[in-house]
Amino acid sequence: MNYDKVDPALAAAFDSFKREGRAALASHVGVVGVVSVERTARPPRVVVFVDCDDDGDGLAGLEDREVTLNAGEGRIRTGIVSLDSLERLSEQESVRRIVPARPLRLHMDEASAKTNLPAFRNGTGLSGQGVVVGIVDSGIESTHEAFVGRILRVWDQTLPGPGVAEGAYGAELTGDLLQVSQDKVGHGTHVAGIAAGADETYGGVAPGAELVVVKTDLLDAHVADGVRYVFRVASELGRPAVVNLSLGGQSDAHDGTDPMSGVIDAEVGPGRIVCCSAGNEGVDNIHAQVEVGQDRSRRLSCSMSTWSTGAPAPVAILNGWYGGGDEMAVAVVSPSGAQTPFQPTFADESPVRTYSLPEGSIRVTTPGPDPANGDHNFLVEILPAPTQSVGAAESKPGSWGLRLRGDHVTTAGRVDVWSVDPTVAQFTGRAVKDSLKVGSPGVASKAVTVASYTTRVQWVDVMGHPHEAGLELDDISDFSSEGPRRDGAEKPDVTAPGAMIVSSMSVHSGVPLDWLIDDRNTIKAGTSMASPFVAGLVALLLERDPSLDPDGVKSMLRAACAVPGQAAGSFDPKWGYGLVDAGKL
Amino acid sequence: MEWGKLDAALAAALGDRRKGGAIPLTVLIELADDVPELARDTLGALGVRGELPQEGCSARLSADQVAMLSDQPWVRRLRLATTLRLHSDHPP
Repeated sequence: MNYDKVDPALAAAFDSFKREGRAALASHVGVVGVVSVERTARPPRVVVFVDCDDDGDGLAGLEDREVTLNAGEGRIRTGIVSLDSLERLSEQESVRRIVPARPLRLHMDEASAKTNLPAFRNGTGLSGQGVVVGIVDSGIESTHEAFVGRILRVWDQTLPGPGVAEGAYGAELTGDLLQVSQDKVGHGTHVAGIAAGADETYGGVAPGAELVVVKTDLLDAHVADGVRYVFRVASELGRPAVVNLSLGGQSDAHDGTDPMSGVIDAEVGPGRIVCCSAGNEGVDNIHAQVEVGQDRSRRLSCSMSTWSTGAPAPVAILNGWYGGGDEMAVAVVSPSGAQTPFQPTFADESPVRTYSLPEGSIRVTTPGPDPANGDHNFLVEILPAPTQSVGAAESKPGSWGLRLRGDHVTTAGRVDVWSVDPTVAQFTGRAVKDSLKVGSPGVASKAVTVASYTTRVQWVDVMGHPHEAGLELDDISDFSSEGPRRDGAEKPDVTAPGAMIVSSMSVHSGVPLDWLIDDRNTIKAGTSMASPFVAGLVALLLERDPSLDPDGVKSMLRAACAVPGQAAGSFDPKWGYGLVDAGKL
Repeated sequence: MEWGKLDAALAAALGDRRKGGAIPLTVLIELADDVPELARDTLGALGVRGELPQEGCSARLSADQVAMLSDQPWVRRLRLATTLRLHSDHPP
């Protein structure tokens, strides 16, 4: 026996069996998944997880009456093996680790208990039955037991096909064809499981609801088409619907006037609700704010990530907004101090100018006011040039500057700028503001926008290894993005469990071993996980009252929320109106 | 080209010949209140079908098609579709 590969609890059961026979296994049944303990016709067997080489070489030839491995992909396989054959399995070169399946307790995950969801559902009998939950995301693992028989349709926008009424692209799938669409990211499957998965241990909030899924290419215009699609399908079925959007960006005006938010506000109504995640930029310096006076200039500093040649060049995109009554000019300063000319607004000609500085090329776009809100928007794109260093060509590190000059300032001259991709560029210095980080579609006026609360920080992975997340337990998740909107409107709306959440896993996705809980579930964190929790709650509320509109839903949720340490009904830009208590719905 | 109808991101994309020339852009077309029948034919030729919601419809357009649409009185605004990110897998 190669004991290095065998989980200690399984090794203990094996040794007991070898020393004392079948009767000795009784004391191990509660710890490892041993079966056939009492039957004499078959040898005692144990349900196991087998961690094998990526290609599983050698496992196929191993299978016989004593060793059965289930079909699957990836490193972790499930199966059942007789204790007599455990030694043979452990000595296979392609096998890295053998871990017994452990009997689980029948309980709801931490998130449900900490929001009084079981009491609410038990008291009302609600399960989301008769309600459509729309998931516009990376797709869904349609064969997962948590969704069996409840996925009505999938619109896969990434497949070739004639499309649907909302867009002539992608393919609509039903019935057996649902499997044609695969969730290779795993995000959508996890999100769907939180909202509406059926699982005795890690079940979702509304396990009686039915699902309409859009596997999106993540273009905001197509996400908007996906929202319309879900509501149209639900309308044809005569059912209320809630759509979950666990996605977003920083390219918009941050005031709810962008087209994606416009579509949401136009589509929602009685029996039609949209829930959005607030975003995960709470600890990222993606927002800077300055006030620029008449004939004065202010500088914003921005650090860029380094990169090596061979990788795609990272373009830092800075998205700036200021009042329509003002006129600002924009310049860029390179790390060595070289500067572009100040570029004013160009309303009636191409507003795009490109510049070359020693450390990179710059494109500045300064159009006239945006008619949606009357404000000025400017874009600055910085493509750093590679410079030689030891061993490899790398971008030159250093601080880039964005200079703003007040040419005609009639107000306070406030300018807000966002880095569209925090992995490429973040602001530094005094202008950094931990506010206004909720982007579209979370800024949509009529969406229910959800921040993340941490209900779990420790877990044990499928191989029995303990893990701990660097988050504060029973508190707002530090990564959760802060509001309010640029126009001062309140966002996010509410807070719900978003870390660390166990939910459904797609077998087509590559899940890090540390995050794998068992053969069906994985653990994730993000406001992506908080939003579907509220979407599930909304499904329960729509089952009770199918005519609820966004204002009604928000009003009910606010009344059931509280920010710890603050008076009831208080708004906080990190928490919204606070953690939802389902027991008060 | 009526530049005043383009948002900053679309203007910037068209300013880049590599993007604005050969590669079609996914564009959100916002329509004016009064849309003539002719507009439906024009949009249909660009792949837009079905209802024309006022808050916008999307199409894959070349730089020349963007320029053509920007000159139409029934087009209010043209915006570049942006790629969103999924809000999870934040390293704890």
